[in-house]
Amino acid sequence: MRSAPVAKKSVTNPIRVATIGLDERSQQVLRMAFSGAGKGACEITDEKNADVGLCNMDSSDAKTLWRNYRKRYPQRPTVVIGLRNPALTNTCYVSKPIKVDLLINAIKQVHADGEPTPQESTTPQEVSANHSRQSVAHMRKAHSGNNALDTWREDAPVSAINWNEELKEATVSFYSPQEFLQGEIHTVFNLAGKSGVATQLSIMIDDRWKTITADPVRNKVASEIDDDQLEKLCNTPLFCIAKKSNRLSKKETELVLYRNEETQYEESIEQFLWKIALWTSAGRMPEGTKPANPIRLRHWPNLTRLKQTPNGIRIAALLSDQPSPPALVAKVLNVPLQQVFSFYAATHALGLTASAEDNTKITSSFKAPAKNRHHSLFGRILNRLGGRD
Amino acid sequence: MSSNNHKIIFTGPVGAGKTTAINSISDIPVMKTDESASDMARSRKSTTTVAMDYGLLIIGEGERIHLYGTPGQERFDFMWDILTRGGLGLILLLDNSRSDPFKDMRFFLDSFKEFIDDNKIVIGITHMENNPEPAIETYHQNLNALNMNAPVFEVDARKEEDISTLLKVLLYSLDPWLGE
Repeated sequence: MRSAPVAKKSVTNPIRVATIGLDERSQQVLRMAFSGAGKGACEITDEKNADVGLCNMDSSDAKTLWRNYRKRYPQRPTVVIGLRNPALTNTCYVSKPIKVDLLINAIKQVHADGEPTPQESTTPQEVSANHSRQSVAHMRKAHSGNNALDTWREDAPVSAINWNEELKEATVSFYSPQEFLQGEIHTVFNLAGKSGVATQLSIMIDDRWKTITADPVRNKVASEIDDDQLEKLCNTPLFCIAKKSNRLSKKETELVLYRNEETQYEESIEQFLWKIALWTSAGRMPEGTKPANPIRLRHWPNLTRLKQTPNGIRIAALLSDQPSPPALVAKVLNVPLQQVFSFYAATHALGLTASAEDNTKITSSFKAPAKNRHHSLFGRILNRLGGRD
Repeated sequence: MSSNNHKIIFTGPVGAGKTTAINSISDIPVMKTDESASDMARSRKSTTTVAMDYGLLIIGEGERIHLYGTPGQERFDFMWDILTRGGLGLILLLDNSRSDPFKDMRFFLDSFKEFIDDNKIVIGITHMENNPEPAIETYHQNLNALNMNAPVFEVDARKEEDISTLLKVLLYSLDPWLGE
């Protein structure tokens, strides 16, 4: 990405941006970014009235969407975003994970030029991988205000709330684990578990096969892929990933798991599945679950050894006390619904939660927990312990 | 117990790491009442707590949280009721290297039953790094058999982060409204 010149056109009117291949959730993130870090320089609008197009090349139907868009607006200045540079002519490419200021600069640039800028490549490595976490944080923050969900009070009659109606007003996104690396990892790990034999998943990264090995006997995963790369892969559609899997002999298992190379990352199967689910979910519910139905937590996850998730302890505390629908958990705890979805996705990946079919009985009998008489004292202890959950 | 002096109790069998855990988060050096182990405890450690361990969390404005570690030996269980009076919650540490940690768990859950009924308990399993079995899942199965759904976590009593998480879970379990 070359550094963008100052926009030549008026800065008083926001640049109108139409998105192609971005779901409502991502659009909300952009809205927040545009009005926050972007200081109102851009705004999301419909395609017909837009100055600039913004096309997500990682959506499942990206190619078709792109072709159709270019037929409709062959000359419109356009920024494309994706994990890999799609090498489309007459576009400006910004790599994922998105850095907001880079994206806004790119939009300003193509808009100021009035025509598409020459194609320039930005390798994903150029954008620091830790910004991917920031992206997720943006998403979560963007959804912290969920209309009716914000107005609930402690004394509100829970049984009177229609959760299906509440959820209609909230933003709920779903994802299919099978369409991402998470599904493939579960398949391979299940195979390993059933056969009792270590199994290896190989993924092509930068023209080299890198492996993830699961040993069900030792409850161990050894990965040649670091967390930053893994997190990116988790957000990449599975069909974009070159992969293969194979079982290992005992000798091969020993060689892989005990070679103690610095480039190998080891953890338990639970730790690995948990973080993969968190990254893949990014605030979405796994398909097949009903957000209005109560979540039942079979038991607490081993939180001292698992990647932290925002408000995870609070959500677990409430769910372990009584089954509750995600919307109710979000409202009672005053946390973004997406944090509850992420927690659900991670616990579901470990088989710790189930979504019950019938929500009528549970929501009507739900008792909002009382504030402890030591509430303020507990708050001060938490502060002393190094902050909140 | 005055209104600005509260306590949290650490309990568990000999060698489970109660003294170490308190030391991990205490703002003062832990005051110990160890003596040479003279009975079954000797096989697990050379000294053992005979009265209690004591540490302190200072949370400002003269407000303190007392951290008490109960003696691990059963012959001192007459003290446990006294120690728990006025307690905010209970942290049970179990040593995964012992021959029957579930027997230990049942013993302590039974011993502190009244306190647990009125408050909350969090369970930390120590020495799992060298003794991964039984797994955390098996503890949950044993708790289910007792109709309990207490939080159970693998911990290293030497790590402040682990013990701090136990305390946070205890507090959030007592009051999910925290964190608003």
